[in-house]
Amino acid sequence: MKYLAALLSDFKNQRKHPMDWGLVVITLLISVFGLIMIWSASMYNARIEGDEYYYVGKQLKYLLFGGAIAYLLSIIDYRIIKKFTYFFMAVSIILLVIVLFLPETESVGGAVRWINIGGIVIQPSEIAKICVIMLVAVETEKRINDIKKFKTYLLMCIFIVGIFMLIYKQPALSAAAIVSAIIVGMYFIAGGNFGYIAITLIGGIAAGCVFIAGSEWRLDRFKAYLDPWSDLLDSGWQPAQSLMALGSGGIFGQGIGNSRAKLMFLPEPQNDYIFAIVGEELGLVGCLALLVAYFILILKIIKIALHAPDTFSRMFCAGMAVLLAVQVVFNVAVVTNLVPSTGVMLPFVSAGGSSLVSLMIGMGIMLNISRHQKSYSRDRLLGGKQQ
Amino acid sequence: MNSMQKKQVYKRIIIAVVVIAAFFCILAVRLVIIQIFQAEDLASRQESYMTRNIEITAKRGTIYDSEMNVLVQDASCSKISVFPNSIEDPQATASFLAETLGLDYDDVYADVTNTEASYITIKKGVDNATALKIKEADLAGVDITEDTKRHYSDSTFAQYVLGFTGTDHTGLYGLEAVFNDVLGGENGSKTVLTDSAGRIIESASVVQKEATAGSNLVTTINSVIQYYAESAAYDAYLTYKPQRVLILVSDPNTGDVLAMAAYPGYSLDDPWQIPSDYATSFSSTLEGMDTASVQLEMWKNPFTSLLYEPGSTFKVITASSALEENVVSLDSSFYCNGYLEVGGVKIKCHVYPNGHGSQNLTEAVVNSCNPAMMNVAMQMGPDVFYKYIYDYGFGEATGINLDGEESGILTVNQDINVVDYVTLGFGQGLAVTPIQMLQALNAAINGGELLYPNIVKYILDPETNDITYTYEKQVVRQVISQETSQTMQQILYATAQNIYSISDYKDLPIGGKTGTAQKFINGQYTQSLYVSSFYGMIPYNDPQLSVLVIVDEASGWNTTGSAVAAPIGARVLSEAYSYLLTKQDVPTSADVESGIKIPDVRGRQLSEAENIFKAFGIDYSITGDQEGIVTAQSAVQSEYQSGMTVVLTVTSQNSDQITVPDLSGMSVQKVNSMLTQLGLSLNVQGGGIAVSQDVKAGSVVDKGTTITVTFKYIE
Repeated sequence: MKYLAALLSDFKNQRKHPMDWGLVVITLLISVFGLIMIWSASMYNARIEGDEYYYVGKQLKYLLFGGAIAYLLSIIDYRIIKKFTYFFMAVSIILLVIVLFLPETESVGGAVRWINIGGIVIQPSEIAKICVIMLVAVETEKRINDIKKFKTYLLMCIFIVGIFMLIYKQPALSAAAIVSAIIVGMYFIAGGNFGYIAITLIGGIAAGCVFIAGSEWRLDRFKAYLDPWSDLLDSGWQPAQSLMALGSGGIFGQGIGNSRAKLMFLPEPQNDYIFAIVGEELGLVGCLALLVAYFILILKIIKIALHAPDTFSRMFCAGMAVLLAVQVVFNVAVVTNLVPSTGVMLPFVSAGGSSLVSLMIGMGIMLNISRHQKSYSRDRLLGGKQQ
Repeated sequence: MNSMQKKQVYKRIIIAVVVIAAFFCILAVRLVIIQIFQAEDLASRQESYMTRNIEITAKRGTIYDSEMNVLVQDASCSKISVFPNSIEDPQATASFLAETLGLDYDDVYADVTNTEASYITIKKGVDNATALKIKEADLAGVDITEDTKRHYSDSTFAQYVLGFTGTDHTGLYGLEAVFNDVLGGENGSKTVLTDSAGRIIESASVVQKEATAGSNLVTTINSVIQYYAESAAYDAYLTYKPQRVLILVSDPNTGDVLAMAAYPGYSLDDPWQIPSDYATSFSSTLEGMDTASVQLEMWKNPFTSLLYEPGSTFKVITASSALEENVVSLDSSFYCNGYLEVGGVKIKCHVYPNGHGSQNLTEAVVNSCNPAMMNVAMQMGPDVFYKYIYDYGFGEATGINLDGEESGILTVNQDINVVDYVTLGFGQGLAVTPIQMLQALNAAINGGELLYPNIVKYILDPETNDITYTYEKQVVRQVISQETSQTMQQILYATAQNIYSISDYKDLPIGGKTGTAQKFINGQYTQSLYVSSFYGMIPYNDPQLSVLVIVDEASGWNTTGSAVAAPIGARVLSEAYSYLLTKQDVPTSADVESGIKIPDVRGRQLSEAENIFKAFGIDYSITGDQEGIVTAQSAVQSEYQSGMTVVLTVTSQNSDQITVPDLSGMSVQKVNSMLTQLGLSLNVQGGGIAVSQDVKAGSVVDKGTTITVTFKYIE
């Protein structure tokens, strides 16, 4: 009853504060562009597997499903959702634990990262990202006065190590690293201690080195990163193919649909390396345009964060911005061989249901937050016009 | 949250945005470096991984017979290949492919599971129907691409003339080999894009150089005469169970080879297969040889490479040389008492212990008397006789445009002893090839000209079929005079008249000479193995056709040339001669001007028929299909009057149901050509002009049905 009343009040509120349509438009633009690129990138290998529209069809379904959820969340008061934070986090941890105990039959390259429930494949690490953002936002709100204290930092470190190990055990080092980066990023925005952050970063880099040196295939990938052409037929294959694809795209690209790297040279071109296909087909112009679109999206989110009514909502938006920024930067860095090859998805563009739906959940919550904007005569920090 | 904290958060957010912007800038710079400054290098690297230059196989030229019937042409077929890494069920795939393609399961399985290779071709030259079956099975990792193969009008027809090509479409034997450069054209090349498994992306291929089609060949082979010769060779094989029967037919006035029929011989559709008749016939010769050696032996062209002793057919050479030199005359008298003693050796006549008694030259040839011919040789003396032997082309290859030609074996004048010399007079002690013998004997009866044996008439432009090269009649030398040659014609006529085994053909103006030679194997003459041969020509006083029949190792109680080879030769001559007489000429412009007769265009492609009718100014209409073969016309050979419309019935070759045409009044050749074009088979009864057919004109039959047609000679 209490929730229903809140919901109704929210509807009223809606009329007063329309949601941020700019965010909707830019999200949809990137998502639809993603659909087109998935279709183009997967066309060849999907046709050989029997259905040219397999990946794009699946992505479209997830986009519609995710869009519906986002719409629903945009009309439900985020404070109701916030109350379920611990429940969501618990479910997310349970899923991560389940993955660890799944037999290796589901595995790809020795790693088990998916749960298959009646044909629907769930990637718990993607779900964990959004849950972690919610949890950190809730915890930050509680401890905003103690944010600089060592105890707070220690709690954060314990949480990072726990969630990191859980995901890393799959093994999914890059997903674990991204989740950790989001937590640290949010700690920074919340006003965390610079010294502690510096120590964390150094520790993280050291840990990264240990992880890379401790695994033969990661070491191979690292060598391939240093010189992709030396081991072209093995570890160097993906970075080299990716670079060749970007290079052959040049400034204006080969034209949509004309990628050659997708002819099974880049494995699963609709996934982690889709940006290379964008570069090959649409050239530097397309790549920069996409990066600009992402940056506008991040700015939009930041704007919502700045105008957010409370600490939770502000931190949630900040967390989403960090998530998007980290994923985009990490993904493009992999594709351009700035960092060693690892599996990071390009948000809204790479084919993948769990990632897309998780992102859409985040978008939905942020849209609702945008309706609760305060009047903010003092808040001119971005120098933007006031609504 | 107090305002201080809020301000700090705002500040931190701005710092975060700046950091994010900085990272985005780094990415942008990196992209600029890759996509502008390294673009060229990276693109060319990609190009080298993804593109491949492949050859475009040129269309190989068509080989026609002298009447422009297709003997061999390129046909579309399929190539079956696999991507071993994409195969889902290797056992099932291998067993299906092995069964469908007639290959060994273990071989296919080895290819299918060879994951080292990205792409392996399993079989080339697979017919499209089989390929379709494989396509319908929809097996993962199995690839079907277009290919071409040689398509023969018949699997054994004139196989030693045509020869065959290897898997790479290069001629290995016969005209295919000799004219490989002419037929082969020039391969082109194209750059194709491939995926990482090596699959070619057809839509993205760029032709660098178009292939130039090979030229077409028009041979001198006449399919109808070849057909007669092959039938006769096969019948003779069944009757006399010899090792082999060879029949050569030529036009003695031009040197054109009209037919080259051998039985047993290999099949053009599967040259590697050793036919059972061949294996049986040559079992003693080929004993202990491995398959590859047997195949090499089988593929040799016997007409150019078989060395045999000519025996009595050589007496034509002896007699004509002596006549030309005036050493003897028709009135010269020879006495035979059954043998002749030369240099202390008693050389017997074939009638020994009897003798032929007193005989003139004609009688000596008719009797095939050995002592008489030895006398003739002795009277000439070696210097003179050898001059003629060489002039007739012995001891030297004819240079015919076929593969594997031998030059024969001939002991030189200086080294020969008297016994060996005189026996040359009746064709012993030298070895010749069939084509050499035919060339020499033709010279004896064609007015004395030794002619280069032509096997190819024209080379045609591949696109337009315009003649680009003509093999003209080529006189090597005048061997004997016209008069001597005419005398030889008379002698051979008399000889043929006296061959008992061909008395059935007495009314035909056939001239000829038989020969029976003991085979010379491992340095000595065998007692039971003979080469029986017959040379004949018709009409004897103006020869249009000549035939050489060689029956190698005939079995039975009488294996002489007259008993075995002469009837075969006479049969081929009579059939081929009637065919020549009844052969209808192509309408000429003279007919057009006189405007008398409507030309017979049945059996022609509609487009061709339309051209002829337009040339004649004849109105016509078309019923049936819109393209294909003209199978009937409302008026044939009757007078054309203005205002008349001739109705042409057209049947497409592409349908499976064929309307049987009206064949009446057509020659064997024309009937054969029309039925072949329509996809029907012909069973020939009799010879001459078609008078009846077992399936009525207008009835609809399946493709491949055999139509029996009865032919009669018209008076």
